[in-house]
Amino acid sequence: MAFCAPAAYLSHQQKVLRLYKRALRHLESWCIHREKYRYFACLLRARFEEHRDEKDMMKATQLLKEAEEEFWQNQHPQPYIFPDSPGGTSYERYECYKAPEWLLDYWHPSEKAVYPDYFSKREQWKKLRMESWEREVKQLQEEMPPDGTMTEALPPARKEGDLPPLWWHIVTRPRDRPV
Amino acid sequence: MNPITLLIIYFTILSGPMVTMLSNNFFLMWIGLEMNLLAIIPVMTNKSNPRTTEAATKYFITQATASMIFLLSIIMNYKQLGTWTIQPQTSSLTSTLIFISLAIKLGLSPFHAWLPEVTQGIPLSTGLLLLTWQKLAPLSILFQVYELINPHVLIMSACASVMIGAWGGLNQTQTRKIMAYSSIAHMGWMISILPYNPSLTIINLIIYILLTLAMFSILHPHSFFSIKSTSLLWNKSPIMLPLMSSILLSMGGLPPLTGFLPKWLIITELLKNNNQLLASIMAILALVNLFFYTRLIYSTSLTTFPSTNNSKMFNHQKNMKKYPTLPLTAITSTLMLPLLPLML
Amino acid sequence: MNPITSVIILIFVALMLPIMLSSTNIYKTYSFSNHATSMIKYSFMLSLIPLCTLFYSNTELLITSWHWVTINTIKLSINLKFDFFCIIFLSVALFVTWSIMEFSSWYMHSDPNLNRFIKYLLLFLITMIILTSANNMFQLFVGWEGVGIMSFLLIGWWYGRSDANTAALQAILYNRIGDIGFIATMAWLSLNMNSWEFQQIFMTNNNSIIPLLGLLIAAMGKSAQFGLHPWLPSAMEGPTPVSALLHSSTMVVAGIFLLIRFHPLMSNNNMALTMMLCLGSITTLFTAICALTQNDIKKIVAFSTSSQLGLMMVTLGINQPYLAFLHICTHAFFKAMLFMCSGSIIHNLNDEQDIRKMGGLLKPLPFTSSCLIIGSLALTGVPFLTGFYSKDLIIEAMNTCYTNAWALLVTLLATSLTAAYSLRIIFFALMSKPRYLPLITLNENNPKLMNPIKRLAMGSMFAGFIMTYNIPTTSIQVMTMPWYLKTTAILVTLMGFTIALELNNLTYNLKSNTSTLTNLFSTSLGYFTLIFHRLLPKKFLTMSFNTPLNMLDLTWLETSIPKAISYMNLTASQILANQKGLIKLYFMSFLITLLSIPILLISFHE
Repeated sequence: MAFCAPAAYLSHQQKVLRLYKRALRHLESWCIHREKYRYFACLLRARFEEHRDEKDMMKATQLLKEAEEEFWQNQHPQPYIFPDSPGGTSYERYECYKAPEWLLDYWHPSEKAVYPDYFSKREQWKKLRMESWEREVKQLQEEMPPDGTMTEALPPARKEGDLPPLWWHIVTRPRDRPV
Repeated sequence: MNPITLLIIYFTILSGPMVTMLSNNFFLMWIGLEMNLLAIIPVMTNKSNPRTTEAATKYFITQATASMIFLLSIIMNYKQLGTWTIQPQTSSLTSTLIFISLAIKLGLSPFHAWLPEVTQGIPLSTGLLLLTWQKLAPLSILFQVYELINPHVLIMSACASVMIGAWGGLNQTQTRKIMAYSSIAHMGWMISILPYNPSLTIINLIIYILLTLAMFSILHPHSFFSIKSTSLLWNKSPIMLPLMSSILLSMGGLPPLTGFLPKWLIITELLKNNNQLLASIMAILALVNLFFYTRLIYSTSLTTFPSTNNSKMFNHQKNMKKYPTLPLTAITSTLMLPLLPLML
Repeated sequence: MNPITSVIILIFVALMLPIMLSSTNIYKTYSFSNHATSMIKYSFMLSLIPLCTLFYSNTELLITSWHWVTINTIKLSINLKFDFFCIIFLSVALFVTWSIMEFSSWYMHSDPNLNRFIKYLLLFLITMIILTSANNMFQLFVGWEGVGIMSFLLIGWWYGRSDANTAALQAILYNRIGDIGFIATMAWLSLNMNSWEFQQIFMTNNNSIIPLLGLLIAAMGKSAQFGLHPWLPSAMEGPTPVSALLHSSTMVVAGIFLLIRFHPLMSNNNMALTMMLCLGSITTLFTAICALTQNDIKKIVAFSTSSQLGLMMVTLGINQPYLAFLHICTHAFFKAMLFMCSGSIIHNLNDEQDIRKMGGLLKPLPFTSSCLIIGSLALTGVPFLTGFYSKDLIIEAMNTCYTNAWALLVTLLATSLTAAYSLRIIFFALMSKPRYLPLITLNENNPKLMNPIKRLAMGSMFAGFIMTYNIPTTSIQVMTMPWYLKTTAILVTLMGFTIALELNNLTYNLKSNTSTLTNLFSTSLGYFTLIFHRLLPKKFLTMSFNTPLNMLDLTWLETSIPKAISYMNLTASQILANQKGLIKLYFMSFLITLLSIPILLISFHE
């Protein structure tokens, strides 16, 4: 996006890919109608594909530089930002109401006593978490590719009836909208 | 030294100024001064080393000279008036000579040069004696004859003393020299007000003695000779840190403390007598004094010097010599400002 | 005993009641929002009584009670003025707020602090009523500041967002600039008029421009006129009901209202009138241009408000305060409705505000769409909708008066642009094909959403007619004019519609877009914020940093004072304490002194 300019330590491939994505987003901001956007997106893709097999790094870098300049010239002054992305209209709107789940650990016993059912269940969950922690970490270590993960999605549970790795964080994440 | 000798010597030191103060006859006054002078020499050389000997010699020579001038002037007075008392008819030459002799004895500028060196050469306890008790006798004489001395001479000398006291102390690293220059400055303040309101001189003298006493009661037990050694005070006796800071600030004349009192009164009196110039000069130069007192505070309580300190926390192990006068003098020398109405 | 007095007390009590009761336990069992809504509803119905008496017997009222304090010669007392302006505005504001309140209980239902939100809205309304009913500067100032504070709290409602906080601060700071003008006027009046009561101020003959300038600055800040306008589009950071309330019946119209109140002072001063005219015309054109290229639906509506405020200012500038007031009242209906329709769309699209991601909403949201179209048409002044009755009159009055042709042309241009940006919303949000995410369930069948919009749609259609039909004759209009002057308003609007439609259709063309300078000017809001929020402060700060750094810190506080003093003292110290320890030298100095003092004494004294 417009906010993350390519850093110096990115590989050439990453730089090109990021430029392509940014260019697509800005194209989308320019071309409001879908069919028009598709047409220009194809043209854009074609321009990138044209130099796909460029082997000469000097030339490739030069091309990248020219492309960046062209992008800068033609960027949209008000690019579309998703509402919940940084800079969007509802970004962090209810962030201040979200409290991490571990705060419950610090409740006073008298407070906990108000919700006996929930906290007894919660104790069981915590126990379960302690039990499954070792397996989760092991599975993560086994399935982690050597150069880091490509996505943020977590791998599912491998064994039947087992819990997926880091399930605790998924279960206890705060709601998007406060109630 | 033999204790009986010592007793006699101290008694003489005590009685000399007493004689001076109690007598009406100038010849007896001179005798009191001489007794005092002769008695203090052995105290100075009590621990005999070249430094003390040199200091005692210097002290003896200057004081003897002063005594001679004093004797000369009273004999001149006797020849002229046939009396051993100072009379309104006394010639101005005589009274000026008396002032000069007393100025040498007090260490007033431009006769100050001996004072820092002598103070630097003798032990701290003797230094205390030199800077406090030894001032009494000459000041008492001056207090009796001030009306006859030309006020211009007094004021010029006072102004010069304040300057010397301020700038002389600025570049010193030795606590005894700093105290000596501080004494010169305080003497300047006392003399400046002498022609206008001599009772203020007495107030200033009392407060000056209290301050010096308090200061030396801190310096002496720890043998603080230089600024660098005072920086170990936090280690030796942490409780003294705020005490020393407030005493020094009081000495510099900061408002809520006792030291502000004489400065306030003197400046007011000078202004009442239309002597704004002297008042401004003295007030400005008091800042320079304050500066080097503050430097002392800085080195003791506001910073830790990169000095090698192999000693453990002394105050936990060693039973320090306690100065019984310290609490009294520290309190009176810092918190006496509210008692101002009683002292006027 | 006049029934209006008791009605007015009842209205105040009814409005204060939910706020008072909120400190008790009662709202644990009753819904606060419902209660507040119904209280405003009752207040509106009560306010119809003074409105009817005004319409039929021209009753105006002045209540002076409770002398508060007398400072020297200035008497301060609670002094309420229920005249033509206040009575009509009271009904309009209550009607609009009633709808907004009901709407916000739908729009904000998921907010954890809904009750507090409703309470803020209520307080906002109350401060606005205080402002409109004030008969002295002090009360007016209380309302004025109250409106400012409440707008600050409401714009910064989502205080977790840094943008919202910035916008809230921006609003309060810009208003503070306006307050400087207001306070200056108050000070001037207390010095020269010895009174803050309106009647007494208007009785005296004043030729000074100073209080008028102060009022103008105050109105500029509150009503977001050019120069102090950037806070208004930023205020869109607040929730949509806040925008609706802020832009329709409270806050932004307060500035115009102030000038209407002070019109007796203004009307005699040509300088002030000209300034208002030019300022208004610049505002209306500039903000209309800015609205043209915005993509945030709320921002477009916000800029249209700003443009309409400029139009009101123009109307004041041509000395037609009653027309300006009429426009405030009609504008409240359709602007509140436009915001509520946008709110409906935004809420249904999961907080999506960008019109590029809407499209084709006509079919899934027919009710909202039709009301949006009604509102936009009313805004552009299509005949016999509410906006027509005020806007058309304003344009007519402008065309037939003998003032600044340039300002009038500019205003006409802005009028045509109104049609253009209104059409742009309709075109991109409602027409063509959907561009929103496919997995959204659109649902507008909530009575809490439908009823308020429905009521305001009725208002947008008929309120103008009802008001113009009933209000007593105020200022004499020119009744005869050539047909081209009579039809100018409608003609330029139609022209705007046509051109905008063509331009919008051009977006289908397969031609790649690039930013042009004109486009950039409009999208970056005329570079105004860039210059006034970035460039100028930066330059000023740099300059101010450098000046004290060089002059104060470096020269004065470093070299000339401490260094010089240090050098002087050090030298003095070195010279004076330069002792070698040689007693011979000391005695030499003693001798010299010993000799010189008596010699000097003898030679000078005897």
